[in-house]
Amino acid sequence: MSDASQASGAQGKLAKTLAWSRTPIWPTIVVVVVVAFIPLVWRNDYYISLFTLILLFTIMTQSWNITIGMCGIWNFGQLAIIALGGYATGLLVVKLGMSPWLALVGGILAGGLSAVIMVLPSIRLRGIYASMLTFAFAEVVRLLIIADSTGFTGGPFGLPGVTGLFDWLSPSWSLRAYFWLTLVISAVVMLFVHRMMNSPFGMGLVSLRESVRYSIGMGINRRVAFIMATAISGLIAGLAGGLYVTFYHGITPSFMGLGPMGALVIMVVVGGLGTVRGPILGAFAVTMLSELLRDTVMWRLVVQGALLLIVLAFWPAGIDGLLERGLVKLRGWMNVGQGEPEGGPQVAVATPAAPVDPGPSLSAPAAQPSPAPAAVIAAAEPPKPAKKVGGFKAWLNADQPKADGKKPGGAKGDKKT
Amino acid sequence: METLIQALISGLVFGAIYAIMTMGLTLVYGCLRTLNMAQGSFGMVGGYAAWMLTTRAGAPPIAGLVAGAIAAAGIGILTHFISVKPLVGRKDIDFEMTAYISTLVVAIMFSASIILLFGARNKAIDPLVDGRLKIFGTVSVSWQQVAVAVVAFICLGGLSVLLNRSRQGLSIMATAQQFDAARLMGVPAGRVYWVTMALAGMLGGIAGVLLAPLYFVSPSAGDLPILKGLTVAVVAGLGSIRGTIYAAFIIGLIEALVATYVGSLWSLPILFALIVVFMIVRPYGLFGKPEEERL
Repeated sequence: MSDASQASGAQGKLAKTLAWSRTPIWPTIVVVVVVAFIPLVWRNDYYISLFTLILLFTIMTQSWNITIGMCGIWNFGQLAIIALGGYATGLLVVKLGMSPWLALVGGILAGGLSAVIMVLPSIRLRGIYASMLTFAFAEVVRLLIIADSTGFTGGPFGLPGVTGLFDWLSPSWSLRAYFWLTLVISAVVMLFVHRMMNSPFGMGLVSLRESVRYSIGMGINRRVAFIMATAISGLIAGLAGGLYVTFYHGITPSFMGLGPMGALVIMVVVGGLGTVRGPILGAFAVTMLSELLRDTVMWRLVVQGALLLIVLAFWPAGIDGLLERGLVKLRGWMNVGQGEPEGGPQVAVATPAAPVDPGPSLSAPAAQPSPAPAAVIAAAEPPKPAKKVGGFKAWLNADQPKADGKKPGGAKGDKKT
Repeated sequence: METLIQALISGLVFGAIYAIMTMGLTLVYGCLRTLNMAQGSFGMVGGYAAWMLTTRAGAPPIAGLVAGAIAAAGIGILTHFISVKPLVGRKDIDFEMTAYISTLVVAIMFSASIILLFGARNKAIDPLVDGRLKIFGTVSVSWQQVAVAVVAFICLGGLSVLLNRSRQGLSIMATAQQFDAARLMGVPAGRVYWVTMALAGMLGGIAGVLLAPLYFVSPSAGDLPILKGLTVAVVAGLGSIRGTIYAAFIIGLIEALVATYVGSLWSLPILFALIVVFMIVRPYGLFGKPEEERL
């Protein structure tokens, strides 16, 4: 039967997708090397510092995305974690006279530790309570630093005079060195997050987000998984904070204020919550937008907010979801010749198995011998895309039809990733 | 002894303000299932309206209170239509989380717009009434504190009458309890939503005007109230009116006692630590319900 063979083919594909696939490293290395040449050719220091800021933001959003997007921990205190990492680095340099590189390690550890401390009490809580508790934690940290009058953290005026990582170079070369460093770090972070998400551990996190009871039933230890994910997110956040402090030679408590918080939220949501590509796209789009509006700082916040409201109202999956939908549509057009049914694409996730097997395997999966576990998973899958899983799952599937679809819209996003 | 009484009195007054501030959050969460992060900026906008009317135009303070309430109610309705209504009933999003994010961003937009309109400088505003009331010994209350307590209790009483006696209030309660059933009984749910937001705005605005003489009117005047409101709401259990009142007074008293005996710098961290411990013992707050039941 051609039907059966087709189904088993789709099953094989699905099994391949669900297996622990390793992220290919070479495309990223190529992109990094190509981008690394930009500051040598384009000698405008202002834009190089802008791009460094964007890269810093991608590290921050990536770290936040692990908890809020992938695990579904409603963590609204990430900015405080980043700032604590930054303050730790800065204090180590300023008060103890440490070398900034060593202090960076201290900042990373401080970030991981404070993230775990912050999230630990909120793991047991329902989403909205956790968000309030983490938000309150961040505000308490901010207000404490502002109220600090002993001069230890510098109070409301911030902590100045942090030595940069590359102070022995001339300013413009130091800037370029920062650009290269953040480029490499953000690429490594991105690869790491992508690999983590495709590993059994990351799959467990996503399943915890979708259904806690189901995942616990499958034997995932919720507490351990969340603590590990939070610690990883906190370590990355601490790194971002340390880089920020040494790059700008200081930090003020206003870094944790509502404005930057809003900017970070907007980046993550506009880019696409819970995807690896989303935070990068979001950081780029939002920073470029605020660059266009740089003469009017306050209008920038209003415009960014309006952008977020529009995106939430019309494309809740963010830019990444839009891209993905475009890709799926494109693939649909390209596959018309090969007899692919045109019904599926509008859901943004055309799971390969879903259109192929019609009634039987869905209605009575247990009775038939042929559909192996993979088909059962496929049968369990379809209801989920209704939620915001779209981006992530589609992203998993994205690398299948490599030949087509890769070139036009996806090229940029895919390479970036 | 006298310091203790002084601390208790100020705790009660702050508890009253926290109660009306958090009541807005509670109402909106109970009815719309939205944790309204813009509640603090309702108070901020109310403070600005009062400032314009009293300090600039020279109207009596009570007019400022009314103007603040009305302006904040308008802002509440605006918030509903730009940030909550587009999300209601959508299947492709996690409503609670998305509404949280969108109202947070609306709060940021409001404070940015206020800076655009009035500048970032703090504005001073006169208290409702001047002077102090001596009770005995060194214990005394400022008349402003008395006024705050009186206004807060009037608000809470009025709210309870409104919710339990009036048609509009009953329809709010009905929508909060069972959305579908309420609609089937002919409750216009769409209108109930924005009326609830207007009510929440009004409460927030009144709280903002009452707090304004203490903390000045500034674009970031909403930050501290929303933080306090969130802690009260967490302790109370989201969406519980009774819990909100108890929790507001408990937190007000704890804060005043800590500020008196340990130091006001420590009141926030100690409060936060207590709440963390409390959340570990009771993850749903004092009166919160684990699942669907609300208000």
